[in-house]
Amino acid sequence: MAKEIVIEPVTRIEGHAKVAIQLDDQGNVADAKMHVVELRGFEKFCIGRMVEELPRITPRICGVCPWAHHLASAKATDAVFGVKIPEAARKIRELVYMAEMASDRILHFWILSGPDFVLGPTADYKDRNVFGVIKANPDVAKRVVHVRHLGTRIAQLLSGKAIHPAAAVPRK
Amino acid sequence: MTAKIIDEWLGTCAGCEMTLLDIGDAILEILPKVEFVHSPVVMDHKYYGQTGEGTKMELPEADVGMVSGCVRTEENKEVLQEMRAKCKVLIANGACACWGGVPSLANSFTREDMLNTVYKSMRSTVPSVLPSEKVPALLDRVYAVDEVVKVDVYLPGCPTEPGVMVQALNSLLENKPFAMEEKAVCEDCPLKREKKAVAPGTVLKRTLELPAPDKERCLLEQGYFCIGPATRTGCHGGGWGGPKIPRCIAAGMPCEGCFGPIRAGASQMVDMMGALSTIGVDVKAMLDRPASFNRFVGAKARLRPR
Repeated sequence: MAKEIVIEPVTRIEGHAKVAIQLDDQGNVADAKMHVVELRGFEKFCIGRMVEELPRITPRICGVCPWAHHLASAKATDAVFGVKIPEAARKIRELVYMAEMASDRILHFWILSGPDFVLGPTADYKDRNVFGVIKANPDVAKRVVHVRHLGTRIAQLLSGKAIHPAAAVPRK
Repeated sequence: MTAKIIDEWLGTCAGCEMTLLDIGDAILEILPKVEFVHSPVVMDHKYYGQTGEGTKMELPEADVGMVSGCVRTEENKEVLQEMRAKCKVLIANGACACWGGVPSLANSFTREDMLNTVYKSMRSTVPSVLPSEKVPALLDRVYAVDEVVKVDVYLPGCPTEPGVMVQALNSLLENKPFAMEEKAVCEDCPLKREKKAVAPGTVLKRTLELPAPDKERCLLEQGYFCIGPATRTGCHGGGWGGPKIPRCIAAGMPCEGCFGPIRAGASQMVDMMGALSTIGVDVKAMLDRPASFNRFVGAKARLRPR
């Protein structure tokens, strides 16, 4: 193996990773791997907790998509308790999730991946980010920030807390 | 002149970074006063040069460093030390940075026990070898940021709160000190307290135990575990974007303690044991005590393997 290029950290994602690219003697790519460089151990420390507390602990897996973890955990807890939640509760869960999803799509495009498209992959890395997008398109940025915030505000008004929620409970 | 900012995340979920975005329209007033020079969640600056040509991890110089997450790996420690060396002021952003946070629940187990469960004995995954190629080693336990380097400003919460963050950032930009009130969540809780004790020897109810609690009355006085009396208030962000009601209480749930102890150095466990005993609860009968009292503060030896 002639050379290895390691790029770290992988940026504009949620999570911690690096990419290692192996080159052969001719300088061509022989192999490439992505290494996930974190572990917090939810698999371990959720064991022994009271089951009804898990919908409040598991959202901490990801602060970008806490509602996915909150609701998955709430549904699992529904199943453990053998309850069917009332239709109104199901609709509220779905409504908050939709609000969260609207925010999340805006976040994903405009703040995480979008700079590659808006400013282009060849733009200087110092500008190829949300701050560069704001500088290049201040009016669009204003709307992006505002509309993304509306989604989290809806989630907050309906549930008390937009990130790491506590609102969905399995109850007959 | 703009203030240069580094935002880093260690063992974390990005919730505190999302909180920065949740400042909403007001972030557009703050942005012209600052320049982010390194932030993996939104920018492409790399540790070892942009194409990995460097041999030493390097961050740019900055006026303010905001660090979220706990110190879980050797690499977290290295990043944190480099950050401290390059930042004039260091902010511990959120519960994980301040006291270990939810990931510090892992401190109830040894590192080896945790690794074996995750990689070898989970029923939902195929047993495998422990990863060793190009991954940083885990430290023996989860550390809070100030167990490794000096911290200048603490922003509590899981996640922290936009209103609190704006106050802290504006204070720093104006060179003013930032401090939060040393008051309990109960001081801002709208639920009615009758200041009555429960029957002596009362055993706490499970969080979702039926019949459902009276929505107007103090949850603790109704026999539910609410750690509000031992937790610092502020999670409502002074009414930032909503009513000035503690966040979980607004959802009809008891406080879980994410803003940490009321005063620096205080113990939520000690304070809460006192509060429970005072109203007559049988503390010994409580389920899952260490993790319930220390959900966000397990570093600094508050949680350790049994």
